[in-house]
Amino acid sequence: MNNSEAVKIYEVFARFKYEEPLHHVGTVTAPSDELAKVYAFNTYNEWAWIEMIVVPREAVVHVVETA
Amino acid sequence: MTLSTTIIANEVTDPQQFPEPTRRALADFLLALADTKRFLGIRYAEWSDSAPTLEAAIAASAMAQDELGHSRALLPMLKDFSHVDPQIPDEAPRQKYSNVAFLDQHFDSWQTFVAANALIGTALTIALEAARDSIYVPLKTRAGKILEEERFHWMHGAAWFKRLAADDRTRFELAAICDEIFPQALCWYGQDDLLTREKIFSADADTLRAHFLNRVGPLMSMSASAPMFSIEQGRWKYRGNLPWARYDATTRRVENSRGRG
Repeated sequence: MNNSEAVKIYEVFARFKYEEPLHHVGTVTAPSDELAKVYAFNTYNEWAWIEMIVVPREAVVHVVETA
Repeated sequence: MTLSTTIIANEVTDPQQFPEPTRRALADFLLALADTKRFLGIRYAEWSDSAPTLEAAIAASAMAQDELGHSRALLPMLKDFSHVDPQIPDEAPRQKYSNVAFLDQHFDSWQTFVAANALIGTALTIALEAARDSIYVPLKTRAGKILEEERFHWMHGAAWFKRLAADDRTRFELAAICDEIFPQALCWYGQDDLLTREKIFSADADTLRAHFLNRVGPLMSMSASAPMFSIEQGRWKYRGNLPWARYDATTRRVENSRGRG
């Protein structure tokens, strides 16, 4: 495999009730969005989620940053 | 592409309602499916602590659990077939299994894992898609549940396949493995359409092969195996010969398959 290929960190958000908002459940590291989806599904499958999303950490726009 | 779902017939829950040849062919299919899933699960599990990344190892472990679970959901169906040795659905050790022969050996590389995931896993999925509206209710209900889980197996296999096929360090080994698996996967659908005539499947063997080729053809076109494939009138074709002389219609195995070095 191509070890030189850049991998990205993805933040994983999910919810298991319609009345609840998505909340952060963890991260996965993956070389593509496709694999990030698979890895997030397999890594955080302890709940019967109704929705799960992954967001590349690099896409996050900080409003207030830690010092 | 989805398979046609046009079966309209009475539902069958007891296989004794089928004529004997159908009953035997159905039991053979269920055993071949369950055994191939069992060995896929075992081979996946062997990589659950040595995959390239932690996330890939977790995925390998999850897919192993899924495949072993599918096998254990399918095997008990054989208790309803009076001619089947009752020890088989009870998972007693056997001398002979009806798994795809490629799975007899350990996966000696991650490329082997990915090729088996993308090709053998998908070959079984295509057959289960044709069983989603089966007249035989126990198969129909299990097919629906299994297919939900297989969606992520396909995503995993396809995504990894693209990566390995694009890398000069892995693409030729990947192609060699695919060249070995492909005839076994295509032969797995057999040549007899009895189960289709009895409305247990919604598509015959040639149609299943065509669906399989259309599903995996785009992946294969990215690999070093691409010369073995062509598109004719919008359909993917395999240029190789299928080893029917070495095919066992009962176990769906291609026997005496070349061992991997």
